[in-house]
Formats: sequence, structure tokens, C-alpha cells
Amino acid sequence: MAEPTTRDTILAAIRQGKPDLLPLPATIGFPPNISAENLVESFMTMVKTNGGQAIRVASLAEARAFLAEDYDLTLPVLSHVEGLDISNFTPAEELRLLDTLHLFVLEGKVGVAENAAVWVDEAAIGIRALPFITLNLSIVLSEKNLVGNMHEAYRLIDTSTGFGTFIAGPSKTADIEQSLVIGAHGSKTLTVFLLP
Amino acid sequence: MNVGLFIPCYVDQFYPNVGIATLRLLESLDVKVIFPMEQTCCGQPMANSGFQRLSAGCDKNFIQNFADCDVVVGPSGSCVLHLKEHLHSSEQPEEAARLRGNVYELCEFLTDVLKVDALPKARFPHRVGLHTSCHGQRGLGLSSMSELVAPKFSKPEHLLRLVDGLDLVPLTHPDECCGFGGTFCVFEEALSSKMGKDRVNDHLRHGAEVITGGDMSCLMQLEGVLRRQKSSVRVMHIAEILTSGN
Amino acid sequence: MNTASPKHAKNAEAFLRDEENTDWHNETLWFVRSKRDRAAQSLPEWEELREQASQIKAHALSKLDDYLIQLEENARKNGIIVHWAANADEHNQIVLDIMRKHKATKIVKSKSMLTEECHLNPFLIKQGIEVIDTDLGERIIQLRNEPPSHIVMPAIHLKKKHIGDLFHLHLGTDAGADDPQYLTEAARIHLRQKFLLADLAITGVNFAIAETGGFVVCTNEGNADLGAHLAKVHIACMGIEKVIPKAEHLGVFLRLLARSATGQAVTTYSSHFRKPAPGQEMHLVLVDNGRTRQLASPDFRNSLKCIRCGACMNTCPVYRRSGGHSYHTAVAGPIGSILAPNIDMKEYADLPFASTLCGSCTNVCPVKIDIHQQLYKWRQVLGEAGVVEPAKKVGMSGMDVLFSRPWLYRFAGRAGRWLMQTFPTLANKASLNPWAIHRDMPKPPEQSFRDWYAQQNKKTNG
Repeated sequence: MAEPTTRDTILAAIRQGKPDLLPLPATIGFPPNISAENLVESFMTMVKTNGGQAIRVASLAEARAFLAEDYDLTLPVLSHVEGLDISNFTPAEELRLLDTLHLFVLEGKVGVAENAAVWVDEAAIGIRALPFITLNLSIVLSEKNLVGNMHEAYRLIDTSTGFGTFIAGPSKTADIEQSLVIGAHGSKTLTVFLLP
Repeated sequence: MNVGLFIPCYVDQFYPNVGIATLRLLESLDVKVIFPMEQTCCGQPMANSGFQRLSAGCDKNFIQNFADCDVVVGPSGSCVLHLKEHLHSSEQPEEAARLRGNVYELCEFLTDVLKVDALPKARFPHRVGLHTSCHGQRGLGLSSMSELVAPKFSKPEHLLRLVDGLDLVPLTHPDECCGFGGTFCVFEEALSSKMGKDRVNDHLRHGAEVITGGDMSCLMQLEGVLRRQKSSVRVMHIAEILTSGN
Repeated sequence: MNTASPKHAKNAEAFLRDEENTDWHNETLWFVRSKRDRAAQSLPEWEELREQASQIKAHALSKLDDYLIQLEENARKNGIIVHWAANADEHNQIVLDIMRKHKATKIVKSKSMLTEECHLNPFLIKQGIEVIDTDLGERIIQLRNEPPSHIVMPAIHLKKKHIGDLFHLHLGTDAGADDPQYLTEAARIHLRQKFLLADLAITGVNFAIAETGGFVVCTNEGNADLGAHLAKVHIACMGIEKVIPKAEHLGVFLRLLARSATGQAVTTYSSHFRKPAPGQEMHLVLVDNGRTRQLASPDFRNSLKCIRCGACMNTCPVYRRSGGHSYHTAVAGPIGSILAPNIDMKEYADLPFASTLCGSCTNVCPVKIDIHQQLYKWRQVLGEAGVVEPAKKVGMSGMDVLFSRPWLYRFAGRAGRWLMQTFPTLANKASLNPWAIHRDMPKPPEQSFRDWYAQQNKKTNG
């Protein structure tokens, strides 16, 4: 007889030692503490708390104007947002060459008012490294896609894609004496545009 | 109701006045109290050191002593918690279970059973810091806890607020451990002392003249630090304050 | 008989010799605890949320075999290569074999307490592989050749001055410069090069989801993502207890994790990995290393619910004043003290005693692990197994002899008080009584309560 594999040994040990079946909670999650009319305001406050900036715009053209003001758009810029044509950068095969990217703009699917996390999925991201390797990041999000809390977000997002992530602010660290520093390894800034 | 007075071993030996105050306080509230003379210790020192299995004799003695009592009341949250959680007897399991369910810390007996809402004679015109003992608070639920999202309350504070002239001082860390911790105070001497010192400083910074609480073990720890510092600040068990003016 | 030496007490004493530093450490950690309190108080449903999290974990552990099989099946369908490791050695060998297959010599790692537990770094370095920790705190302690002192804030024991000196030495920053912003920027530049050149990335796993066959990694710095997305090969290492049934359960855990850990509403990045990117290879290593043993113990299996937030450390009055290294184990603090004895009972016999059992850890735990109750239970197990100090044991049997014999107790009490009254300096002599090194003994009274009571009764009954 073949020797049992590690897998079999572990599973057998679990079966031997696990407790009798315990039930899942009757309900998962809670209704949001933020009312529908306060979603935008709460979301914007939390973006700020997270170290980013949130701007309400009427159109993509307005968003573009803000970007032009904040960033030098002659530096390498890549936009994956349809109708926001500011790209001047074509990603090469070689991932390390993405390191020069100055600004990356993509579309968020769902925004969560209680923590300002924005879900971005693989279709919007494209090359997975982009939102992390870019120096500056901007997310365009429709106000219609704001929800109150994470439980609601998980009801809306599609977790069956290859990759997706909640982004809540620019990268940060407090590993040196608990002093908050914005701009650790990921993007140093985050601007979220809220469209009607 | 037959109330058995449980005086923990170290209170018996080192702080008899706390036992006397507890007895007088209960009697002043018309409670008939008996003190079983052969009682010794709850067994906690052994159990907390990993030798709960060696405390059978101790448990047996406790059960024998309090067999005639409807309820047991003791002026120590820590010892009471130990009894509630760990009093066992292989010979008399039902009696042990009955006692586990009927042992009260003094403050909770006053607020929950006697429902004391006035102490007309009590007068203590001093600035007092309340040390909240961990076993009383987190173990017995004598007061709300800073870690939890829950309504605020405190049974000892409710009682202290009934004392005329008493000025309860606020603390920066109202429910930080004093560092006594049973045998921890000896086996982790350096840490235990530092924790005691930090607790004392919180009270001193807020101008307490007296530090009180429901657990004499915590207060012994704080007193040890105060006396080493030659401080004029005293420790008093809450029973002593509630009977002051009597 | 095996005997444990009181390592934690000795380490704590050494830490406490610099009182100013101890106070700073205490206050820094308390600052994080206060941020956690504010975050918790902002959610009225906080306690129920903890309860849900605890129940989901309890359920997942009660069906752990099924969920691991489901996870494996779905992960494989997604194109992830799944491995099983019984212990640290097997885990390390699996990682090494993958590296050899890809001829990888440069790897970047994001924080993984599991790989700390398995001592992966020293193992790989011995094989001539460059291993770079990329979490800032982890990189700092790696340059110092130290283990982490905290699971969320690995370098929390260090002051910025130390880090400034360290970076001056290793990264060429200006001498004497200790501004956190400046130092973080230097680390960013240094590590960016490492990310760009790495052959392979290792990450931990915060949650694995049986239903989707994917896993979630949470960071604030973005280092896990940079590493995993830039390298050709991504190895994610997880303890088998990290699996949860469904993606919707993440809503519960992600609301608790960062709030408990740092007081943030959520980590900056909560990345959901499900399939390797085109041209990339993704591995998932499932590690037991004592977890099935812990699961088989009704008293201790709850500790497997841990989501590694570190809240129990930040609140612990002992941890705050003794530092993470005093626990001499990968996971320090209260949770470490109930996990470590399961791995090596003899080596870590001192840790369940490094606590006053104040219970604050249990109250902050987002998955409601009864940490202080488990510390108490470990003490009983260690007492039973005879791995506590012999002095303690003799003392304890003596105590029962004393307390089960009221006459002896009365005699000893009287004798003790007499002794203390007669020789007060003896009782306060530090070499005889550790209590008295920093504290005074209580003044012994003339008579005990029972003596007084007997006297009163005599008077009344006449």
C-alpha cells in the first residue's frame, strides 16, 4: 500500500480532532449605519481620513481638468477610463518598465462609505501591477455605486475574477515610531472622482 | 437568608480591619451574618500557578464550612471569581455547584441582592481614587469595561457615590491592571512592581488622597508601592469607606 | 523531570532596566489601543460583529477538512498549484523546491507570521538565496538581524534614532537623519529596486475562501501586491486555519481586522487573488505545523480563530512593559503565549505565566478567543506535565496542606505575623523576598480577623 500523503495525514488529523459541527450565524452582516443621503459625504470624509482626496465632478472633462492641474500630464500617464483620453504611455511586456508611470487612472466598481474602500477588478486594472507601481493613482467612481458598508459591497462585487482589490487611500506606513507616513511602496497619492 | 461571611486568608491575616468593616457594613444593613471559623483559603494561589488539581483539600474545607449558608459573601472580587469558576468537589458535586452559584463579591451583594440605594451614615470627605480590580470587573462584571462597546456602569462607584463628602477623582486608565496577579507578583517581580508603580502614579497625578477598591490584593500591591515611596496616600478597602461615619 | 526557566521574567527585567524606554514603549502601544477603541466605538454593532466573526470561525474549524478540500479543488480549477505541508521543514522544502525549479535566486517577501514561525528566512539564506522582507518594519528588523517584536508592527520596539542609524549604515541615508518621512522614502527607493528585480514573491494569507478558491492579503504599504504582481512566481503560505467558507464572510472580517489592529477603518489594500496572471505561476502552501493538534484540544482549539490583528498585544499591560522579544517566540504577547506551548511545551512553559490574567486581551479580541482563560488552562496543563519550576511545585503542594488544615493555617498565620512583627527588616529583605525589591510588605496586625471575631463572640456570649 502506498504511504499516506501529507494531505491525507492532515485531513485525517482534522477529522479525528475537529469538534462536532457548529452552525454559521443565522445572519451575516449588518445594515449600514450611514443613510442613503449621507453616502457621498461620509465617503468623501473617509477618503480624506485615509490620506487621499475626493472630488465631486459633473463630467469626465471636469475630472481631466483637475488632473491637469495636479499632475504634469506630459509625464507617463495611463488611463483605463473610457472617455478620459489622457494616455501617453503604452505598457511594455517587461513589467519593470512600468516603474516610470507617473499617473494611472482607472474605474472603480463599488465604493464603501464607511471606510472609503473602492473595489477595482481585473477588467478595470489590466496589468495587475499598475495601481501599485504607479506614483499617483486616480479612481473614477459613480456616486450610484456607493454603498454603506462592506457587507453591502460584497453583495455587489464579483469575486470570481482573477484578481480584484479594495483600495482605500494612498499607500502608507506607521512602522517608524507610529508616525504616519503617506507613500510607502504603492502609490503616493490617491484622487477619487465621484461622478453623478 | 443565611449569609456566610467569607474572609480570604490574606485579609484574615494582614487586613483584619477589612473583615471587621465588611461584617459591620452587612450588619448595619440588617443582614444576619455567620462567620464559619474553620474557613481558610479559596484555593486560587495554587490554581493560578497551574496546580488547581492540588487544591482539592482546600475546596473540601471551603464546602464543609459554608454548607449551612444560603449565600456566601466575601470582600474580594478575585477570590469570589475563583470560587465561582473553579470550586469543585468529587464527593459533593451538587453542593459545590450550589455554592458556585451563590457566592457574591461584597459590592455586587450590596447593589444586586440588597439593592442598596442609600447609606445615610456614611461620610468620607476625601479625594478618592477607585482602583477597579480586573477579576471584579472583567471576571464578575462589577463594572463596564473600556474595551467593550456597551453602556457604562460601575457597582462600586454607585456605592461610593452614596457616601457624603466623597470626591471621586477621574483616572487616565480607569481599568488597567495593578500588576499583582497572584504569584505573578513574585515570579515576575520587576514587571509586577512597574505595573504597580504606574497604577499608583495615575491616582497620584489626579490628586487622590485615598485609593480604594474591592480587592485587598490589588490594594496590598498599591500600598507596597506607596509605602516604599513614603507617600502619605493611603489605601482603604471599599467596605472601610462605606462604614466610615458609622 | 523537565523544568522551564523563567525566561520571560528575566527578559522583562532586562527590558525594564531602561525605565524611560519602557514608558515610551508602553505609551506607544497604548496609543494604538486608543485608536482601536475609537474605531470600535464608531460601530454600534461592534460586539455583535465580533460574535459573528467568532461563530464563522468556529463553524469553519468544525468543517475544516471539507473547506480545505473545497479550497484546494477550486484553487486548482483557477490554476493555482496547491501544496500541503505537515510542519515547518516540509513547508520550507516546498518553497525551496519551487525556487529551484524556477532557478530563482532573488525573492521578495511581504509579511507572513507563518514563515516567521517556520524560520523560512534563515533556511533560504543558508541555501544562498537573497530574501528581502519588504514590509518597512520587517525590513528594519531584518537589517538588524532581529525577529519581529510585534505581529503587525514588527519594529515597534525601536526608536527613529535607531532606524536612522541603521539606514545610514545600510542604505546610505544622511548621518543623524531620523525623520520618519525621509527614512520611509529611502526605504521605498531601496525596496523598489528589489521589487523590480525579484524572481519570486512570497506573501502570507489573511483569509482563504473555500467557495472561490482564492485568498485575500491585506497591507497598508502595497508591498504584497508589488511583489506578487511583478515577479513571475507568487507563493502564498497559509496556516490551514485561515480558510473561511464564503466571500461574503470577508465583509465581517475586514470590518474587524484593521479597526482592531491599528484603528483604521480598513487596510489600504485588501487584495483578492484568485487566478495567476497570464504568464505567471501561483502557488498556495497549506501548513499544519501543530494546528491539527491544537484543533483536537477542546480547551485550546479556539486559539485557531486568530486573525493576527495584534490587538491583544497592544492592550496587554505585560506586553506593553516587557516588549515583544521578552516572549522569545515568533508570535509574542497573549495570543503567542497560548499558541507557543502547543508547538513546544517545554521551551515555552514560562509564557502562560507571563500574565496577570487581567482579561483585557479577551475583551479586545475581534474573534472572541478566550485568551486569558486559555492562559489559565495552559498553566494547569504545564503543572500536570511537570514543566513548571520545581520551587513553584513544592510551594503549591505545601499550600494545600496548609489550607486544608485550618489549625495549621491558624498556627502558620500567627507565626508568620509574629515573625514579621519581630523581624520587620527580614520580611522586607529583597534577597529573601522578591516582593520587597520594589515594594514594602504590609504591616502585620496584632491579631487576625478570626481572632478578633472569636474574642467578640466571647464578649457577647459572656
